[in-house]
Parts: sequence; C-alpha cells; structure tokens
Amino acid sequence: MGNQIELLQGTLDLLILKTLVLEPMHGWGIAQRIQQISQDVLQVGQGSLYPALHRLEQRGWIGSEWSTSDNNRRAKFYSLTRAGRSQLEKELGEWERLSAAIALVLQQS
Amino acid sequence: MILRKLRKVFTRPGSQDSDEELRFHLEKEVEKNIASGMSQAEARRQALIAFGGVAQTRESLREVHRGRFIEALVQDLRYGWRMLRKSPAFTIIAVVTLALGIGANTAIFSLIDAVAFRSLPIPDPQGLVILRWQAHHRPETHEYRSGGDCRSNMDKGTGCSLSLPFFKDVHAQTGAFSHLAAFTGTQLLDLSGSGPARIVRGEFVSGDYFSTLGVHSHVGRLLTEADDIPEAPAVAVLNYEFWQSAFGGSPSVLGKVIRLNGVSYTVIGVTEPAFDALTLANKYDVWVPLASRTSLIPHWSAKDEQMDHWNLVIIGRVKAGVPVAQAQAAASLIFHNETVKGAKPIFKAEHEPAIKLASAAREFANSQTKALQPFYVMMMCVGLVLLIACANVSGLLLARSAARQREIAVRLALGASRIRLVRQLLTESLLLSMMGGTLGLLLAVWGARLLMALVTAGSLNPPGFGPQLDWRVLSFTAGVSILTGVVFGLAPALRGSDIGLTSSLKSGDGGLNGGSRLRSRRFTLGGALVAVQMALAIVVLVTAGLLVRTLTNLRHLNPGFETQNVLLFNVDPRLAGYKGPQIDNLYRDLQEKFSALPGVASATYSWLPLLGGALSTESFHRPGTPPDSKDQVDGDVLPVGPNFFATLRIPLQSGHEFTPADFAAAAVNSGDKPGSAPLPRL
Repeated sequence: MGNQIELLQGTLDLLILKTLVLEPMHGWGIAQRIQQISQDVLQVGQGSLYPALHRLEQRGWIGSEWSTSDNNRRAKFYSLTRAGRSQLEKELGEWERLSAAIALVLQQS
Repeated sequence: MILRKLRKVFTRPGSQDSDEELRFHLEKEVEKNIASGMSQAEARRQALIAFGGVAQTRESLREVHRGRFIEALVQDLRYGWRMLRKSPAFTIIAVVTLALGIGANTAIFSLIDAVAFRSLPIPDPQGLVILRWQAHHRPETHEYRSGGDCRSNMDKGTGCSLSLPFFKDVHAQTGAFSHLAAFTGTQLLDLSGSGPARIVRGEFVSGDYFSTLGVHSHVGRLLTEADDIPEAPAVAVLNYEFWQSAFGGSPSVLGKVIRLNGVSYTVIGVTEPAFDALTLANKYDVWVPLASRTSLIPHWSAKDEQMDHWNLVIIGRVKAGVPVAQAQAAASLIFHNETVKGAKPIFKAEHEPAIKLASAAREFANSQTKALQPFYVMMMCVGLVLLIACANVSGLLLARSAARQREIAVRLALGASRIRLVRQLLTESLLLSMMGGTLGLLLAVWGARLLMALVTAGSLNPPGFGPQLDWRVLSFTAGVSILTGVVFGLAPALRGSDIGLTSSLKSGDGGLNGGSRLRSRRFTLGGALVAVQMALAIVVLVTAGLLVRTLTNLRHLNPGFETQNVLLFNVDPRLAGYKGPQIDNLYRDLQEKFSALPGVASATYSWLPLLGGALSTESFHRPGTPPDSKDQVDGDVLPVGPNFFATLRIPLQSGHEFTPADFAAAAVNSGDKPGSAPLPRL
C-alpha cells in the first residue's frame, strides 16, 4: 500500500468522467476501475468519491439512476451526460497541456 | 446478519439516498474481501477500516448540497434584482401596492401588540399575583364594585373584588406573602389649590402598594404603611406624567398642599417615569392612602368598608420558598371562614368559596380584551386589502411572465429544471414582497401614529398607548411579507415556467402566441385572478358601504329630542363639599344664570345626560299596596330640572312641562304605555 499517490485537486473529477465514458457505473465500480487501471497506485476513498460524484451531478455533467446491480441489489448508477462529455474533452485538453508544460519545466532543470 | 449490522451503521437521520449509496459501497467492499479469502468478520473489519469515517462523508455530502442551495439563492437574487431593475415601472407599482397592504396590516398589528402584549411596567411582573375569589354561587354582597382592571363574573362565581376586612386579615394573619397590597378603582377627584380647579383621576391604594409593585420614586418618597392609617397626616403621590403636565416637573411640588374634593393633602413624592399604569384603561394622576377614603369620598361611611362591600383588588407576591398552593390555601381558609361563618354570610358552605392566586399580568391583560375588539375588525379589513394587493401584483406578474416566456424557454432549453425556474420566479416575488414590507414598515409607523392621533383627538381620556416596533411587530411584518410573496408569486411562477418549448422558441414576439394550449390556460389563471380580485373588492366595498350607512343612519336617527345646538357639561358640587339643599340651590342658580346669557335659548339640568350610556332604575308600587307586591313595576328614572322638555324640544303628549313651581309633580314617560294619561300624583 506504500506506493499510493494523493490525487491532485481537480484530477478526481477528470478520472470519474473518463471512467464513465464507456458505461454507466455505480460508485464502488468507479473506485475499483480507477484502482485497477492505475495498477493500485490510485486508490479513491469513499470520503472524496461521493462528494465529487454529487458535485458533478449538480453541475449537470453526470446523471444518476437507481437500478439493480448483481444479486438484485439496488445501486445508484452514474452516467455521463452530453454536457459531461464535452466537459471531459475540455478537461482532457487542459490536462494534456498542463502535464506537457510541467514535463517541459522538469526536463529543463 | 452482517447486513443488519451494517445497516445499523448507516441508520441515522440524514439523506436516505446518500446513506443507501454508501451502504452499498461498504457491502461491495466486504464481498471483495471475502472473495480474496478473508473470514467474514475480518472482511468486515478491513472494509470498515478502508472505508473511513462515515459521518464525515455524510457531512461533506450535505455540504455539497447546501453550498449548491446558497449558490443558487445568491444567483437567483442577483438575477431577480437585475430583472426588477430592468422594468422600474412594474417594480415601483408592485412595491408600492405591497407596501400599502403590508403597511396597513403592520400598523394595526402594532396597535394590537401594544395592548395585548403589554408587559407590566414593574420589576419581576411574573411574580406578581392577584387574589381571585371563586365559588359555586354569586356572592350575597351588599356592594360589588370592580375598577375594570380585572374581570369579574358574578354569575359564574369568580371575580377580583374583595372586602377591606378580608384584605386586612390576610395581611395580618398569613405569613405566606412577602408583599400584599390592595387598591380600588377609578375615582374622579376635584383638584384645587394649584391654579384653576380640575378633575383628576385618583386611586386609593394601601400603604404597601408601591413596595409590592417594586416601583420607586422619581423625587420625594412613596406611600408606606405608616401613611395608611386614619390618624396619619393626609399625603398624596403624583404620577410622573401628571407631575410634568400639571406642575411642570418642578421638584418644589414636594411638601406642597393640594386640595382633593376640598380635603388637604401634602404631596410627598412622584413615581418613576417608567411606571405609568397597571392597565392602559385606568391611568391615575394621583395616589392617596386607602385609609383616607372615608374623608375623601362624599357619602362614604364606615359601613362601606364592611365585610359585604367588595370593592378592592388585592395583589401580592408570595414569599420566596413558599409554594403558591400553600399561600392560596392560607388565603382561602380566611376567605371561607369570613364569608360562610361571618355575621352576614355571603356564601353557604356548599358553595365552596375559595381564593385562587392568578398571574396579575395575565389578569390585567385579559381585562383589556374589550379594547382590542375594534382593532380585530380593522385587522380583518386590512387583511382583505392585503389580499387585493396580492391579487393585483399577481396579475402584474402574470402579464410579465407572459412577456418573459421566451427568456424562460431559453433557460429551459439550456437545461434548467422546472423546479429551478419556479424557484427563480419565487425568489423574484419574495424580493418584491420584502421590498414592499420594508417600505410598509415605514408607512406603518407613520400610519399608526396618524390613526392614534385621529382616534384620540379631543378625547379627555387618551388610551395612553401608542404603536411600538418590537420584535413581535418586526417578525409579523417579515412573516406577512414572506407569505405575501408566496401567495402572489406562486401561481404566476408555476404558470410561467410551464411552457411549450418549441412553440415558445419559434415564435418571434416574446411568446405571446405560444400555442393554443398555453393561451387557453393562461387566460384561465388570469380570469381566476380577476374573479378573486372582484370578489374581494366587492366585500370591501359592501363593508365600507354598510359602515357609511350605519354612520348616516346614526346621524339621522331621531332620538326623540333635538340634538342640534345642544351643549352639555358636567358638574359635581359634592366634590367641592356641597350638601343637601345647597346642591339644589346651586343647580337652580346656575340654570338661571345660564338662561340669562345672551345667545342661550334655554338651559336645564338633569341627573344623567340623555344617551349618556347610563340609566338608573327604580321600583314603583301603587299607594296603599305594600312594596314587593305583585303589581310593583320597575321603571327607568331620570331626575330632571325645570324646562328640561322645552330645552331638549321633547314634545309632551299631554299635561305640561315642569315649572320651578311644581317640582313635586312627576311626568310619566309615555313611551312605556302609549295612550295612558299621565298621573301627576304623589
């Protein structure tokens, strides 16, 4: 567990939006997916996940719906809205520019 | 089993949706741990550790929602303010309309507030108790007088007037009260000895009246028990307000001798300015000791202070540490003994006479409810006015929302939810009503003063209170404003946000042609508003009409005598010490002198003025039959002077007017038995 990294402010929103591009998911699924894909480097606790989900929902970037998951249990599934899709593109662009800029600065010194 | 325990973790009041979501998360975490080979208990433990603080998460979720709400509110307010500024004519008309409606309501409420919620102007008003008697029967008293400070209902067997001997006995025999005082109602006194003679309102109080109330002196000293014995020198205490108006607030009044009903009193002090009166109906200019009643009131004799003359109100404070019930029982015991076993029994034992200790503040306030009745009527009237104002502003808003349809349609198309739009429109109407309420508050202060000035103009006995702005009035105004905003804003807001998107956007002229469904519904709501407005207006119109009619009827009512050019005044020579034949001579003398004045057609006098609200009744029986026989009748009697009928232009059916010569004749009121001849016989 020692190789976990604290997420930068704002990057969690980007990760959530990106994760939801493929299919609607519930909160736990999103957290698992981020953890898997980052090969356990990024672990998202519920304490930051759910406030972020609710905030994104209020901004209209994701929508939510209660439906049944495995074992017939009710779960809240989040999905990307159209506004969320364009927001994701915007944030991806910003992220690429930011990381490229940081990389440039770091390589320089 | 695990699930039940998990549920326990989350079952706390809060957003259920969020709780269920978090619970699901935890359950999945446990499942994952089990799948990786942990025991159930261990899986749950690890899951909880990984999960972290539930309460914090729940709080931060709440924060997300709350922040959103405030953000939206600020946004709505800013937007609403911009929209209102964009159409200043609409805003001004709406705000002024609402200000008039809310202002009228606030004005009347501030007057009701001043009377109904008045607190006694004394320290620790809650500790002051009043002694109420109660029994299953009306008391067989010889005299029962209430000064109007506390309500009595003899037939229901309860009241506040008690006898002097009872007061003295409770005072002397029970140790349960730290203070006990008595006072007796309104007494008009003739004040002379300082400038021209005048009538003042005086109250007889026991020596510990002021110490019981906790009232201090402004200058000099107040009455003590030593002043309230028959042998003590006669002293008087002045009300601060009276001291200001009659003596210019000069401290040299101390030691000055004034004459009340011809009896000399030395002024010993002035009460503190904060203490004006116990009840607004009874404000007194001067207080004198109870013991001086005998010398001050004409025809007052020692028998008027006996056990069966109930004319005192008794107030007190229960000693610290003594239960109220114990003080009550002690007073009741004395009361029972005196009224049942006394020389002249007032109750029978089965009537169970007793004394109850009631809150003086509440009893005094209850006695004022009659004064409130006209205000309640006014409150209803201004309530109707406010409803009309609401209907008007609602109509204006509706017309505006029709014009704003395009704007609203654009916002809907951009993804705003309907609830969000209704909230926006309601915020706007609340903004309007709050502005109206603020302006209304100013109008109310000014209006209530004007109202009181109109009501009290020329009144000898001003009600002694004015409008005041306290937290009750302010919260009333705030409440009315919010309610008003919702009442007039809700219908237009719901209506305004319910529009067909496509048609509204397509029509180029701001949405007035917004589809047939829309048009028909808009006119329905508009029509309903007009109907409500008309109905309310008609109610107000009819009420006003009835009021005016009543007033003109009163003006044209024929009371049986001529009311034109009749001047009236009162004089009570007994207060100046006149007795017996002196009084008759004075009246006759006055009548002659007034009749001789140029411009005076005729003058007369009577015991009571006509339509003065008072009358006196006597029993008549035939000469030769014993009183209390069956043919005894009761009749209203008005003793009058010579020329009474001529002066008031009352036509006589037969017979002739009293002349100074035949003062032994009686005139029979022909109104009782039409056609019967007068019987000038005695």
